[in-house]
Amino acid sequence: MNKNAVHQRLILFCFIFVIYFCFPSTIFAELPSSNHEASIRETTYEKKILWGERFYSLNLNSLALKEFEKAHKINPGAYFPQFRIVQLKSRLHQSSNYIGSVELDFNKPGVLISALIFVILFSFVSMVLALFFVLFNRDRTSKLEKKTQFLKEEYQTMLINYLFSKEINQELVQSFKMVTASTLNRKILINQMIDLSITLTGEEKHRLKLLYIDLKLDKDSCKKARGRKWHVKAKGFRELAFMNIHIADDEIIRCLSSRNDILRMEAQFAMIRLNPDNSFTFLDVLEKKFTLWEQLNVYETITFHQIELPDFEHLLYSKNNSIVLFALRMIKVFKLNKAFNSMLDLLSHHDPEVRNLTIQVMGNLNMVESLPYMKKIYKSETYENCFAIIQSIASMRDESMLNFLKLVLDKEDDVQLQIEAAIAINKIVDKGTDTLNQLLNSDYKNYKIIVKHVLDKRIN
Amino acid sequence: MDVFFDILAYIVNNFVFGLTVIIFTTYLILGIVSAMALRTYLRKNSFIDYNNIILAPLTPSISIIAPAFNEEKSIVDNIRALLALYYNNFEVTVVNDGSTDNTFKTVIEAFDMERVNYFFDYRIPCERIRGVYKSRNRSFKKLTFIDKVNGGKADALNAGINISKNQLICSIDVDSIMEPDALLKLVKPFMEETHKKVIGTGGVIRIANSCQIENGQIKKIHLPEKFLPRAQVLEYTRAFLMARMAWGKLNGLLLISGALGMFDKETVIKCGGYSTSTVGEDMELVVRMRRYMAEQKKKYQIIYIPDPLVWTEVPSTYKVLGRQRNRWTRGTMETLFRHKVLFMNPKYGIFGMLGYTYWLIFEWMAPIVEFLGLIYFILLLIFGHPNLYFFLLLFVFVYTFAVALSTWALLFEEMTFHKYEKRREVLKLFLMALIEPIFYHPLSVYWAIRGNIDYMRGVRTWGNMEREGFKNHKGSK
Amino acid sequence: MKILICEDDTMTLKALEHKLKKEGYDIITSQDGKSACDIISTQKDIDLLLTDLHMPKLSGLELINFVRGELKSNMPIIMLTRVGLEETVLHAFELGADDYVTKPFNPDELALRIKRLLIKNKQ
Repeated sequence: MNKNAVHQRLILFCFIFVIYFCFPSTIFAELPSSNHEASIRETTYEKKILWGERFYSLNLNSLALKEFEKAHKINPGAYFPQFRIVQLKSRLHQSSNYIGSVELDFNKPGVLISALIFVILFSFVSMVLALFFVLFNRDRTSKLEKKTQFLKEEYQTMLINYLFSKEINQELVQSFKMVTASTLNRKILINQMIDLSITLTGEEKHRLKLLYIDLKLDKDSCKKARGRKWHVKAKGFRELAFMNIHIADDEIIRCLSSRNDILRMEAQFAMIRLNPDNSFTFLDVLEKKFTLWEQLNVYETITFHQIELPDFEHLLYSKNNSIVLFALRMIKVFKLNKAFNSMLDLLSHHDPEVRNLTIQVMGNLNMVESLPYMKKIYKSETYENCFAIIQSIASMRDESMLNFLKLVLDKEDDVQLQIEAAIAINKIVDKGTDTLNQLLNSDYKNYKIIVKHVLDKRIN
Repeated sequence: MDVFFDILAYIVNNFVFGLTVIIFTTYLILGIVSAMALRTYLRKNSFIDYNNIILAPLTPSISIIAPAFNEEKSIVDNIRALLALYYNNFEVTVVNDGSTDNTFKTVIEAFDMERVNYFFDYRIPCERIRGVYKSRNRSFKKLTFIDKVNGGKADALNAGINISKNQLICSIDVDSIMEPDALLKLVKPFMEETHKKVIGTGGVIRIANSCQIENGQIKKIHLPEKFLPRAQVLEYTRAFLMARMAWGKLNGLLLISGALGMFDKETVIKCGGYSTSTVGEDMELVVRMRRYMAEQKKKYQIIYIPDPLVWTEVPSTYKVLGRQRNRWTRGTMETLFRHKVLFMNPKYGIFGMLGYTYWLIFEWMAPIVEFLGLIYFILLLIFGHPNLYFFLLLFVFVYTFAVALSTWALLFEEMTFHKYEKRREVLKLFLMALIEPIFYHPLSVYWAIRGNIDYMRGVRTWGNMEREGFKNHKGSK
Repeated sequence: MKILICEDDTMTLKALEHKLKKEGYDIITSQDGKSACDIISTQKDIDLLLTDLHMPKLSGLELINFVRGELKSNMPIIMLTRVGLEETVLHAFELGADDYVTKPFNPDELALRIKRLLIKNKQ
C-alpha cells in the first residue's frame, strides 16, 4: 500500500480513536429500525427505556432520571420506569450528600477506581523497595569493593613472589589452590593472572601459564567459553587467548561470525592470538561489514602482541569492501609499498570510498608512480575523491604536477578545491611558492585571498 | 446545568482513565526498556579498553565547536580543559558570537592569539566573520578562535562547521565541563556502524551546581545545595536514564542536547546546518537530520550513550529557570509544528510514529492537559458538586506515581553510575522527590503554559540567561 | 644504587619493583608524572629513572623534558612503552632518554639494560 495512503489512514484512525475515547457508547448505539405509524408511541417508549437503562448502567443519573420520567409520562401504568425513578432519586440523594458505600461515594465506574487504587499500591510498594535497595546497596558494594581490592593486592604480591623465585615454592602453590576453592577469589585471581600475562614475557610468562593449568583454571575458562551467555563466552575466549591455551578453538571459530559484536571481536582477537600462522583467514570469508572499531582492535592486537604481519595484499581483492579498506589502512600504517600494483587496480574500483582511501594511502606512502594515473581519473571522479587526489599530490610534492595543479586552481569553481590546490602548489618548494607569489597580484577568482590564506604559516 | 456537567464529567472520566492507562504503561515500558538497555551497555563496557582508541591511527577526526557569548569569567579555563581532552585527532574551535563583555580580549590575551589571513567559506550561511585567530604558541596549535557578529548559538555553530576540516563535529556549550574521556565514548558508535550509518551521538548531562571545580575540571561531586538545582537533578535523572535510554534503544530519540552532541559533519551540511529561526536548534537539527535520512531512504541510527559525559550549570533562580523552560517549550513547539508531517507517518518509521507522538503528548500536551484539568476542577468546585473523595484519590494516585518514578530513577542511577557517593545525598534526593510534585512540578507546568502563550504571541527570542559562575571556582591566573 | 620507577599500572609497578629489588637496587615508586617530578626535585641521590610514557596528570615525555630541561640532570632514563608508538619513542629520544623497553617486557632483559646503563654512566 502506498505510504501516503497509510499515513492518511493512520491520522484518521487517531482522530476516531480520540472520539471513541470520549463517547464509547456511540459505537454501541443501535440505529432505529423502520417505523410503523401505529407503533411510533411504543417504539418511543422503548427508546426511552433503552436510553434510560444505558444511562443508568453508566451512572449518568440525571440523564437516566429524565429518560425514565419521560417514559413514565408515555406509559404511566408501567412498573419498571417507576422502579428505576425511585432508585435514581436515591442515588442522586446519596451522592450529593457524600455519604454511602465506597463505590457509590466516587460515583464513577468501579473499574476506574480499582485501577487507580492498584496503581497507588504498586507505586508505593515499589518506591519503598527501591529506596531501601538504594540506601543499603551502598554498604554491600563498598564492602565488596574493599574486599576485592585487598585480595587483588594480596594475589598480585603472591603471584610476583611465585614467578620471580628461583625454585617452585610449593607452599605458595598450596595457598593458590586454596584460593581457587572460592568462586569470588578464583575470579579475582584469574583477573590478576591475565593482567600479569600482559605485562611480562619470557620465562616468567611461561611459568604463569603452567601455574594456570596446574590450578585447573584452564578448565574454568573452557567452561566459560562453551557457556551460553555471550558475556561469559567472551570472557572465556579472552582468558584462553591471553594464556595461550588451545582447548576451545572450535568454539572460537564458530563465533567468528556471531551476530553479537563484542563476542565476534573477542573471537577475532582470540583467533589472532592463538593461531598466529593462519589467524587472518577469517577475513577471507567474512561477509558482514568489518567495522572500523573491529579493525582498530585487530590492529591493536597485532601491534601489542607483536604478531607477524599477514599478507594484506591479497585482501585488496576481497569482495567485502570493508576488508579492502582495512587492508589499505594496514598497508598505510605498516608502510607496505610493495602492494603498489594491486592498489593501482583499486583506482578503478566501483566503490568511491575504496577509491578515496586508495588515493589517500598512495599519497601517504609517497607512491609517485601513481601520479599520472591520478591525473587521468581526476575529471571523472566524485567531489570528495578530487579533493583526496589534490591532497595526495600535495604530500608527494612532485614538480611535474605543477601545471596540473595550476589548471585545477584555474578551472575549479569550488573554493575548497582551489585552496587545496594552492596548498599543494605551495608545498612544491621554491617553484611552487614563486608561482603563488605571482598570483598574489591577481584579482581573478579570489586568487589574492586564497594565496594569502595558503601562505599564512599559522593556519595548519 | 446538571446534565451538562454529567456529560462533561463522563468525557473527562474516560479521558483521564484512558490517559492514565497510556501514561502508566508508557512510563513502565520505557522504564523496562531503559533498564535492559542499561544492563547491556554496562556489560559491553566491561570489555572495552578505551585506551585503544586514543593510541590508534585509525580514529576519525573531530572538530569541537564551542559558541561563546559573554563568558569572560570562565572561558579561559574551559578552553584549556577542552584542549586537554583525552583524544589524539581533534581541533577546538571557539566562536565568539559578538560578545558585549571582555570575552574576546580575554581569549586573545590568554592564548597569545593573532589574526590570520583565513579565507572563510560561507558554506552554511552565517553572520559576518570579523576575524579568524590562531595562537603564536605552538602548544595551542589545536585552537582556532573565530570572532563574528552576533547571530545566536545556531549561527555560531554554523560558523564553526564552516571552518571545520574534520569528519565529525562536536557541539558543546563552552561553559560546560566535559569528562576527559567523553570524546572516546562519543566517537565509538561512529566506528561501530555497520549497514546503518551513525549520524549523531549524545550522552548524559549532569548538574554541576555546588560541585568543586578546579582548572575547568570537576574535582569533587556534590549535590546542589539550592532547591531549584536539586529539583532539576531529579528531572534530568528521570529524563536521561529512564526515557532517553529507551528511546535511544528504539531509535526514536528526538533530541541530542545542545550541551554536548557529536554529529557526522557531511550530513549536517547536507541538511543545511543549524536553523537560526528557532530557539530549540538542537532538537530541530536532530529532527531535520532524521527526516533527511528517511527521505533519502538511507538507513541510519542516532545512538545514545548513558555515560555521564558533560557537567553543566543549571539555573538556580526562578527568573532564569523560568526563561529557560519558556524557551524550551517554544523550541519544542517550533520543531513539532515545523515537522508536523512526521506525525503517524510510516515513511519515517518508529521515529515518526512513536517518537514524534511521544514528544507531542508527553512534552507538549502534558502540561496543557494538567493545566486544563486544574481549571476543570476549579470550575467544578464553583459550579457543580464535585466528588471530593474521587479527586482526593486522583491526587494521591498522581502523587505516589510521581514519587515512585523519581525513586525508580534514583535506583537506575544507583545501579549504573552512582555519582553521588554519600548516602545522605541520596536521602536528600529522595526528600526532594517527595516535595517535587507539590512545589516544583506546578512551576514547570506554569512555565510551559507561559511558553505556549508566548509562542502564540510570536515571541522568538532567547532571553537573557545570566550566569552565576561556578562555585568554588579556583581558576588559574 | 637508587632507582625511581614511575608507572601508573599497579601490576606492572609491582613486577618491576620486585624484580629490581631482587637485583639489589633501592627502589622508589611513583604512580604519576607529577609526584615523580617532586621526588626527583627533592631527592638528589637517584641514579636511574624508569618511566612509563602514558600517564595521567603529567606524561612520561613531559617528565623526561623536566629532568633534562629544568633539572639539567644527566641521570640515565629508560622508557617503558607499548609497541607501535615509534613517533613517541623518537620524540622521547630527542628529549634525552637513553633507552627503551617495550611492554610486555622481559624482566631479565630489563635488568641487563639497567645494569649496562648504570655502568656506562659511572664512567
